[in-house]
Amino acid sequence: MGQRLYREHYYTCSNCQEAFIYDDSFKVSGETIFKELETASPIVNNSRGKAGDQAFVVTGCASIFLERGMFNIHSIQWNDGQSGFLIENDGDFFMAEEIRKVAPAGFKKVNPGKETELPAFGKAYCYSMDKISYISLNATGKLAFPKYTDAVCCGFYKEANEGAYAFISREEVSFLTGKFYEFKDLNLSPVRAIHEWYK
Amino acid sequence: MSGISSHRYPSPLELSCVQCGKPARLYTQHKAQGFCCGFCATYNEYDGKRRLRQGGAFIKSSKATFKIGTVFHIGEADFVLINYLTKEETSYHTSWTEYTLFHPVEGCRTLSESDGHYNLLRASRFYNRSNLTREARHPEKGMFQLYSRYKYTIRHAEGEFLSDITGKELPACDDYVNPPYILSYERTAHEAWWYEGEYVSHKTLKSWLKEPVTLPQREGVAPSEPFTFGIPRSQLVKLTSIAIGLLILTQILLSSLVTTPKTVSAKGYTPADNSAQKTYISDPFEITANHCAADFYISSSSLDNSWLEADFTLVNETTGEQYYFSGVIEYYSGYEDGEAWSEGSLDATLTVENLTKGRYHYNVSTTSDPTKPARGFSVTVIENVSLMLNFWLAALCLLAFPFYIYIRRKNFERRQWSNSDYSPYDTN
Repeated sequence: MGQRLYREHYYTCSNCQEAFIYDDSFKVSGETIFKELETASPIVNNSRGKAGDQAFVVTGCASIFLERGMFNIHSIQWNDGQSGFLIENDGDFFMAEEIRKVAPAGFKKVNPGKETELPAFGKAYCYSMDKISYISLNATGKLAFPKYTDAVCCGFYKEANEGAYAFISREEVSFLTGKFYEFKDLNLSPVRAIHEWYK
Repeated sequence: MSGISSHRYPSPLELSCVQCGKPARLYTQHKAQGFCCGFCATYNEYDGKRRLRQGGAFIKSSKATFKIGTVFHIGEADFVLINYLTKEETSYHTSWTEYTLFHPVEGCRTLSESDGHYNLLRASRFYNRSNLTREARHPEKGMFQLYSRYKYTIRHAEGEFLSDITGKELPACDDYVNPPYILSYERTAHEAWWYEGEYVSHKTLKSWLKEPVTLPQREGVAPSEPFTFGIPRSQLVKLTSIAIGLLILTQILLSSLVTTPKTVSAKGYTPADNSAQKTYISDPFEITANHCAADFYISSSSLDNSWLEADFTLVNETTGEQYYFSGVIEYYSGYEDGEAWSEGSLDATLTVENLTKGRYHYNVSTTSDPTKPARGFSVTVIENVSLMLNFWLAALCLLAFPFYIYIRRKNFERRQWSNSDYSPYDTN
């Protein structure tokens, strides 16, 4: 394998195409991972882009398969070396600006179709709440959440294109808060050629 | 690592139906939760081990206008039709068809067809902050009114689906309209999506397609169908206001610049005896312009609880042309129950139109109350007066078109809301 990674990072072997997630002791975690699943995304490994003034590069992608849908969390590396996330979901491109973890006890009940008070984010509208069935990992990156399978993912938005994703498990709740962008505003390059993509 | 390294968007995923073994193409790759076979209508769904299994069956619709794989060129993007669903409302059993269009960057759009009318919708980041459940204020598209509230079941399906269509839970839906826009809210225990869309004309829809298509005949008025006769309501009000303003301005300009009213005759008449009927002949006077109007102002300050009727014959001494007109002045006053009262007037103005230039005189025959004959009266003739009648006629003509449009719009809206349980119109 030849690559040493850190806790909550994933890596896909270029020889056997198996994906691995490491904990502190460098063991594969208990995730249900499927290999070789097409991301169906225009974004590729090493796509470079800009969100506001900050440049980033895409290093990998975790495809999250929910019981009722699927979306991609692209792992990115900012030009200052920090890691981050770009979530791509049905034509929405969401740049996670902040990642916060709270205990489940501190998180109020979520109800799709209602506004919920999110810690340090304020009131936001919850539009989806679904259980994660399994994931597919491509290339290298940091997980947005330590344990995916069987966790619940919630989507939120509020005014001024602000939004949040919450990953809820028994152990903790992770919030990814940030902004929605138009694809063209991320100035991504290279991306997959999509001219006559349907052929 | 095909999913992230390839620099070409992958060709559709080729699969086989678990029931009939016939081929199926998935344009959305592994985004799809399952697909409904185009041959045997079996729903193929992925299980937790990412294996396809039979998940039920739907009946293929014979009424679908578009085939799976049809390309719609909308804006700058090529969307592909990946599925259709025929839905049936649970209360009134009305049905409609929703076609899902997919693009790798833009995501999904829903082309909804009902009675030959189309709307194009997309998932929105709007949600209704209003406490009033029958209204929704969109920050850019204004106020929407609740049109329908319903649940639906799926009757027909074909193609690949990005979400589960076999669930037992019936989504609760609200449709709000502000033509040509529509807001649609769909809620289950797991999702609460708002969609925003716009009415699509047949002409626009055909322009998105490369191949000619026969669209179903339109019936009735769609909830989001805009009233397209003439001009939008706001523009009509604006244009009418401008036209009325211009008319008033023209009237003022014509009155002050083009025509200058001028007194051409003023004469007082005092009867020599107390008889009730008299005839007087005026001195000649000149009317100085063609097609002008003249006011005959009659006044009698001596009238007291009495009346005076004046019959005029205006004679053009040059041509011999004669004009006949008459008027009455009457004035009554008194004191009753401690209060003074009065009615009528001591003067009147009679207008004669379209006079030609020339020398005139008039004969005036008066009849007054025999018990209280008038002791005198005066007649003043003013030429070049402006006619308010013309103004009011022009104003009426200007208002006729907007009024016609208003009536047509109201009828259109009444028909538009006739299928709604929340109609602002009386449907009894």
